[in-house]
Amino acid sequence: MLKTLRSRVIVSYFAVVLVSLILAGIVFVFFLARYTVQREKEEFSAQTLAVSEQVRRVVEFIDRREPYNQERPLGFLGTDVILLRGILIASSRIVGAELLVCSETGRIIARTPRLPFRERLSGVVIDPEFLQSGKVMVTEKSLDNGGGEYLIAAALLEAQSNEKYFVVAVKPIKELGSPLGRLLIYLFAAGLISTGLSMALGIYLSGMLSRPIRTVARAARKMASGDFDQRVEVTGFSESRELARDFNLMAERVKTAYERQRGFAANVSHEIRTPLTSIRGFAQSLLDGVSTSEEEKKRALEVIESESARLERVLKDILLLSQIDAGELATNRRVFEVSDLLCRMEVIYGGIAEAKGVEMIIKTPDPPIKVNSDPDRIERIIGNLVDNAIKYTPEGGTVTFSATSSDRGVCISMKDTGPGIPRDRMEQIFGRFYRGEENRDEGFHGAGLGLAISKELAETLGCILTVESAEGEGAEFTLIIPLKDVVVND
Amino acid sequence: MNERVLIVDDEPNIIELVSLYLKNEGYEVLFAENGEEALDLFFANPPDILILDIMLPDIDGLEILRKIRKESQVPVIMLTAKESEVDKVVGLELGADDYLTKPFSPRELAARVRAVLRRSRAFEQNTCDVIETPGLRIDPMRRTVEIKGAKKGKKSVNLTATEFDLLYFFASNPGIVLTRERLLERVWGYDWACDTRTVDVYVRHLREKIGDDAQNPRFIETVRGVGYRFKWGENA
Ligand SMILES: Nc1ncnc2c1ncn2[C@@H]1O[C@H](COP(=O)(O)OP(=O)(O)OP(=O)(O)O)[C@@H](O)[C@H]1O
Ligand SMILES: [Mg+2]
Repeated sequence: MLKTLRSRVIVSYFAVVLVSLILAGIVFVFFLARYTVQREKEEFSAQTLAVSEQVRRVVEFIDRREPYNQERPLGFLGTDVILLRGILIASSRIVGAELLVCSETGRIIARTPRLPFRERLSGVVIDPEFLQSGKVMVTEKSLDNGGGEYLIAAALLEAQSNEKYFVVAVKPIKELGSPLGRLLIYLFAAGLISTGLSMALGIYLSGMLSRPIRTVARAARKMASGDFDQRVEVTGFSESRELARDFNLMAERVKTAYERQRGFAANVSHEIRTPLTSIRGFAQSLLDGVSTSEEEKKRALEVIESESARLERVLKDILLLSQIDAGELATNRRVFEVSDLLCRMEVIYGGIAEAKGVEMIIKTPDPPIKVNSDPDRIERIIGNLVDNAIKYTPEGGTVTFSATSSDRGVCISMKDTGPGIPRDRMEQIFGRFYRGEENRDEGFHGAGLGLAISKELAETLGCILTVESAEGEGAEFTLIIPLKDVVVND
Repeated sequence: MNERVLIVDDEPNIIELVSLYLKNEGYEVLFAENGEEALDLFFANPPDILILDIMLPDIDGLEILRKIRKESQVPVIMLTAKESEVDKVVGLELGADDYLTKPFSPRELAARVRAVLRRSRAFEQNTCDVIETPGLRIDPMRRTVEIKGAKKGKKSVNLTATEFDLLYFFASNPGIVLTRERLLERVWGYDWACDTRTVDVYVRHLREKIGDDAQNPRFIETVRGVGYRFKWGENA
């Protein structure tokens, strides 16, 4: 039930408010109850005192009319008792309690009709000494007649007699603190309103908390279904901003990776389909008898042969790149002499350069340099560079191939007098399948993988491949084998 | 007089191959290895049909087609090595009449050249009647199609030549199930078995343009495993 963030936040808000309300309510009611009972007791005793004053005045009035007589204690006549009772009844309305007048021994002289005591005020000890000073004595007493607990206040009724009389007020305790009931209703109402408000606040706040999560979740879902253009707005509190920013960053990365992947696949298919078209087509031309003359037949076979070779090369290159991508490329390090490598290059490419009419100059290092690296990979890197240099340098140009020691390591450099590379292509030429446009229609059928492979192989060996060139002034590619791989002769 | 074909492709081997076949069939062949050359050659010696590779070193093949289409309605067969480009080729406003993906068989290309040329000749001679259905008005003379909406509104749509021929053929044979082979034969003019997927690609684009939903078609209904059928009545 409490699965969503939203419901959890709302419920926890509600719970917090409820608990604090109950706690506050308990404390409040406890103290308020004590306070109001105290107040009422005080008021009760003050009123009792006032009533006793009233009664005294009546008694004095009667005494003045009928002087004190031993036979008539307190001077109360039968009729006067009735008068006294009348006063008590009238006063009891004001005080809100039952009243009586009794003697020191507890004998009741006059009383209001609903008083729980009949003849005597039993069980209540009244201390005349205490009451002498005009004070009121308040006691709580529980009666056996089932009337429950009572609050009893007694005040001395002064009279010119040696016998003492008291005015006593009796009130059931449960009537005390009655205004508290209304207060409790207010308290309850306030509680209801505040829980309502807290719910509303909870809904609002939970919405605020869950909204960024939900927008990101929605965008992520769309991305999962292949829409990589999803971006979320960076708004709200700082965590939500962070979430949105990171999500956008991730989306960007995923998109570029996906596009690169797709572009790569499309290029691969292009590079495979093109030679396949020629192979299949020329084979068909032989079968269909479209290529009829000996010359045409030979030409068809030549194309099939060379395009097969091209297909094979592309496949090998792609395989190598995918191995680099998967991190599965095995390197086979050993110590070898750099000048050996240069000589091998001369053996492999010297003929090609000569056939094209490009002069190839090789400068072997002196003293010889030994390095600890993978000679096959280095040969591949350099081979691609030499191949390019010869391919892109026009007839009559020179290709200079040298190796030198420097403070950064061994620099194997390949300098040509070809067309050079424009500044804005310096980065691009190392990209997979990048081919310079101007070279494409001059019969160079490269796939544009040579430099990409060289660069990526160099990186796996910890080497650096750089290019320096100005347009129209040739290019110089340099492979730097780091110092740590250079073997020092002793 | 021999019909003239202009081949544009950056692969000399493919040009050589295609011209071998086309020359064998008696066409006059011109070729270009890049866009610039192709445009020059096109306007200097207007060919009867153009075979155009999409991926060229300088100008995009689609861009070349756009430029040419401004001047001429010459039939065009596009070549592409990328499956993802097929939709671009077919969906083009003044699109190609046909396309082939590499690797293609040169024999098939030659056959398609023949068919496309036959089709464009046939169109020049034909005088067909306007077809008016409850939902469409197809005018073959002006090559316009109007869709009649529910609220009496009319909307004219631009169709490529092949799309128009396809729709016209559909509308001429209402209620009859047309197999893909029959469509290839009658609309494309191919009289041999070849890849019938071409039909599906064109039907998909045609539906898109005339606002037809494959799931709940108003005009062209798919008959599973057989072909398509044109619905004449609006709510039939
Ligand atoms: N020495 C150079 N001089 C001028 N341009 C060069 C040189 N080397 C490379 N380039 C440019 O960089 C592009 C990429 O080179 P890269 O070796 O990656 O591909 P390619 O030579 O075209 O094909 P491949 O090497 O796969 O056969 C080339 O097409 C060319 O335009
Ligand atoms: Mg290269």
